[in-house]
Amino acid sequence: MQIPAAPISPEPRPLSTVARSATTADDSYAELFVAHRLAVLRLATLLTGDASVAEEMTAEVFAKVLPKWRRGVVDEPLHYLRRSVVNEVRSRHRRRGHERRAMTRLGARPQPSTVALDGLELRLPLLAALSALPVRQRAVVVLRFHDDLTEVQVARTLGVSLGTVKTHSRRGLDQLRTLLEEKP
Amino acid sequence: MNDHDPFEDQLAARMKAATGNVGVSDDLDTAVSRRVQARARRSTGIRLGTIAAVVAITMTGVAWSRSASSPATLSPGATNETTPIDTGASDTVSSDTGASDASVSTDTGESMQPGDPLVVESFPAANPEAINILVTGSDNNSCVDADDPSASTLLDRDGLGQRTDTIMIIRVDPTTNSAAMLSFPRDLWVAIAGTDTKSRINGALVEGDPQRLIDTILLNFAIPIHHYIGLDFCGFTTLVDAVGGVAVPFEYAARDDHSGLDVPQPGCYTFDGDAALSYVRSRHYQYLDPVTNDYREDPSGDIGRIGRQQDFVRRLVTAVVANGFSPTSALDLIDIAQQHVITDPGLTPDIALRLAGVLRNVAAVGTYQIEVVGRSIAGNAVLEPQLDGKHMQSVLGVFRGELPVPIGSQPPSPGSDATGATGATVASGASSPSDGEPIIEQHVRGIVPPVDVVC
Repeated sequence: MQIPAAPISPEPRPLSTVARSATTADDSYAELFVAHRLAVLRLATLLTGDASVAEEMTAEVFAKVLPKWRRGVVDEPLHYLRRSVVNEVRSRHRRRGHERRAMTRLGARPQPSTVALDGLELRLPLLAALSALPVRQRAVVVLRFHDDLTEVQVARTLGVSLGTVKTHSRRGLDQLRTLLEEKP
Repeated sequence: MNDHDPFEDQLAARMKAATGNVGVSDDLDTAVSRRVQARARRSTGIRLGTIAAVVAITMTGVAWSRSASSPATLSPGATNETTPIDTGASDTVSSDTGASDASVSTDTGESMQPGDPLVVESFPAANPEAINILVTGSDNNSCVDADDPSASTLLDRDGLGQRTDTIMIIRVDPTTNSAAMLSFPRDLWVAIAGTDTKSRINGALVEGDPQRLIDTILLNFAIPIHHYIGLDFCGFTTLVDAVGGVAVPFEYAARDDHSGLDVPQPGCYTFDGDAALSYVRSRHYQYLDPVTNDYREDPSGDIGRIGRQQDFVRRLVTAVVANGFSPTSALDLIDIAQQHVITDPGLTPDIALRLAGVLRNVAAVGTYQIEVVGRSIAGNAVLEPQLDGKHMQSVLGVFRGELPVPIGSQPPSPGSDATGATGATVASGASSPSDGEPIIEQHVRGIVPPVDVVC
């Protein structure tokens, strides 16, 4: 095996472009993390339906928001974080489409998943029903009824109009009602 | 606004009930903050990867320092954890770690599935001198750059244990000059030794003390461990740099926005340490489909990553063996061994030297994985081991010392025509034995470089 003298490698993306005076911002970000981690994690759990995915996503969101926090462009942190979660879920959703197609090409069969017992039956139909909704409807419904936001707040968080929120909310609720109430 | 709808209240209540326990456990807390750290530290969020050529490094490192007649210490003072591991050639691991683990050995004894020792007449008895080395790759914050602006906030939190991303066993048989690797996916769902619960296998590695992981492997797979080598994050990148980079052939351009991997075109690509980490940690590995000119993600996730890790480790070992004895490299290697590697005290320079000699003469290292089925348990995506297949039993037999380590790239073994459990995500894929000389198929799934191409 011959090793070329100078390894060519991608330069790491510059984290160092961040202002040096970041220390104070970072301290406050640590508090932010402690204060909102759980909210973000729970939102991600409901939106993804998978605890470990939610865990990763939470980490990702906090890591992605940090540089913006340092630059001082984050006014309402919790709103910003929630919105980031929803965006993550949406881009993940797009990626999953690619994955599924690749899977099919490789001839893989989807695995049936099993479900553990300890009292989780209750919440699984809920997660399953939620995951059946289009991502934006899911986001609206969860933000409204889990995070207790008003329609106006949801609209601001997601950066959409109030009308859009109402529509998504109504459709999402209707479908959830069908999915959840027909169960014994 | 319409009238208040009881369904809305009910829905709200159910959602809150569903997330009531989310994130409450310390585990999860740790997991999340650790991941935030990892991502913030490297802007692209590299996750900790793998390693295993550590074996080779440690050994070449020791070998060199010996020939330079300076005594090498393999259990560095910096990581003053030592591990009681039975260093004899016996096939058992003593678990006298201390009071808290008092129950471990009994647990192990009771519930261990000895896995019906395979009696195979047509093969020579396995060499009792062959040993199993457990190798783990972990991110334990040892590589934190104090100047990194995020360090003050996100790092140096107490109580964050290490996360193990890579768990593999390397079996080395000194008499036949053969070696084999067995990888465990980090999401493998196993009974944790000393507890009544099942969990992901990477939860079994307590910082600085591999005993629980060793016991867990014995408990679930009946594979004894004789020596332990733990390498951290930093050690891996330093190692790759010390040998002047490691070249990997790519059939397609590849990237991973999560880990920072970027291989712009097909062909040989030489990784330096940091880039290598972004490669072996990549779990969202995308390759450029030449037909559609679109990036596609390797759908096999962690399994594909393990395949790439094993391939990388093999290339790294080759590089270490080829370059490790030049004076500059050797000094770096010794330094790595002392700073970033933890071993059990039983892995003495004598033993290490012998193993290094074996590794230098090994023609090809067979790579194997635990067969698994993907499941969702309690909302966690995990991999359940499938051990009953004949092929898996043969692989386990090798690592249990019941069968000889396959030599070269054509590993002989009995009964390999059975695939794993039906529907296994990673079926063995074993083809029927061709000329009466059955083969233990090496598991390759996902997008993995061609084994036979050397850069």
